[in-house]
Amino acid sequence: MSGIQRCRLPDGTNVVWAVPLSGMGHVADEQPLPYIQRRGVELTPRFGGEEQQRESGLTSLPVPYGYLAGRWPWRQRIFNFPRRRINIYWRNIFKDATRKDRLFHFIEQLEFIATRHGFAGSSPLLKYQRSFQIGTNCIDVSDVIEFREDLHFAELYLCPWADFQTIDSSTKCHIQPTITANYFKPIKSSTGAACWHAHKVLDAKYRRGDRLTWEYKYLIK
Amino acid sequence: MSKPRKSNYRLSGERLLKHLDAVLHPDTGYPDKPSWGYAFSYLAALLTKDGESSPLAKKALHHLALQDSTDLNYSWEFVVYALQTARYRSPNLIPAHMDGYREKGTRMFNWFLLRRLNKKLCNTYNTIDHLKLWLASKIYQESSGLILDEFKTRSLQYHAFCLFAIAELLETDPGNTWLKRWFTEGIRFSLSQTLEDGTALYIGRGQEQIFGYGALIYSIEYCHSKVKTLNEDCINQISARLLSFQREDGSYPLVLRHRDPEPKTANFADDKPAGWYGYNTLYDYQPFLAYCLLKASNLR
Repeated sequence: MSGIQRCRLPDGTNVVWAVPLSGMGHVADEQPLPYIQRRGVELTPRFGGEEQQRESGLTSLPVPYGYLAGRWPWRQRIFNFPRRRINIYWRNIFKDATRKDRLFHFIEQLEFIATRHGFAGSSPLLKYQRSFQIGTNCIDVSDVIEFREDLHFAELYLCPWADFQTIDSSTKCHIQPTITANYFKPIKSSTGAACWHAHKVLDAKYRRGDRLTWEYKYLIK
Repeated sequence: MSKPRKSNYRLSGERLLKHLDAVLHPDTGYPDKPSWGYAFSYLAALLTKDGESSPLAKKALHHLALQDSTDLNYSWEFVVYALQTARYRSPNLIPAHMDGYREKGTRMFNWFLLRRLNKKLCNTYNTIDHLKLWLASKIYQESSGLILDEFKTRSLQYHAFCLFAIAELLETDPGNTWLKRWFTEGIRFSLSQTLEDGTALYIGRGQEQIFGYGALIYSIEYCHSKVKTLNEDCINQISARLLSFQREDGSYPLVLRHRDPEPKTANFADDKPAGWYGYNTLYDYQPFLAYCLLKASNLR
């Protein structure tokens, strides 16, 4: 199935999100947080474009990512070994998702499936789940990370989200995350320029069994 | 097809071609180097009243003949389609070195379909091609109706272009039931994904680009006219959304959006417009859109 999920709020607002493609697709194929649109007016961004540009590349997606502090754990290396993007280019047969720069992007490192209320991804190192609850004029999104192994990130970006940064009286959608952002960067996609927000943690160490949670509330006026 | 929609397509296509004629310099060509845009400018110009005698047709053909077709990356699939289709209207003007079947071989599924179509147009289509096409129809379409341009991806734009190619294949083989089923399932998927304001290409490579809208408009109009009656409301929404983006000078932006619009003369190298890819140029996609609009307006 396409993995594209759509619903319509009572006031005619359209909400679209999609189950991640586990690193096999293009950035533009992903919509891990709601794309909200009402009568042709975009209230939240879409993602993707020329992937060689940082602003529309993999790290512009609102899914957690980080850089491992040490070498890739063997269990993740073995997990990644058959996961090669030969569906895009044959030459990717020589390249798996175990990146030299130690970028651990959840989209790429986890295998995702659809769940009843969203999607869940898993790898030998962690499990990650995102659920969507649709109200009459709001959308609640909940994220949970459960560590299956001890893991040490040199830097980690949690609770990522994106908006158009038009905070004025005409703003039709306010996004309220439960973790305050301390990191911002410009991104761009077919909906134009937008801002990516996240909570950046340096030297982040987690033990097996640790659990992180946060939520986002999308309030639509 | 409703008459007003048909005349809107013609009007819009002609205005777009007028714009393209104005920016196509007789000596230096288009302001940004196209890949296959000259071939489609020529083909689209043939669908106007002046046909092959129009200045746009003459200039486009001149610049097409000057392109370096020996380059390994030359987009033969699009050029062969345009020239072999043009042959039916204007048989004597195709540059000799560009006549006949050629291919670049890009592996994306929309290119595969174009190759099968070109073989039909060049009379080189054989049983193996037919078998490949049948197998592909089983492998590359999900149960949702989505046609995959690459496995494990999803692009509403390239799904739409695949529908365009299948519509053209169907035109050469109208009695083919599996081709018809493949096509109608794909159309059903496209319509089911369309938002109420006509936004139809919001996920995947080429989000909201005019290339996909041209392909989608022609495919659904072809389906509605020749294969199966569709809900006109949905067609009207898509058509109204697309046409609302045409500028006063007849041009269209490459990516349709109201906020943060791209510059009128955008090119990737200088502007890196949001939502564009390195291979995008206005002068490939605008001629293709003009062609699709005029072709849709001619459907009976």
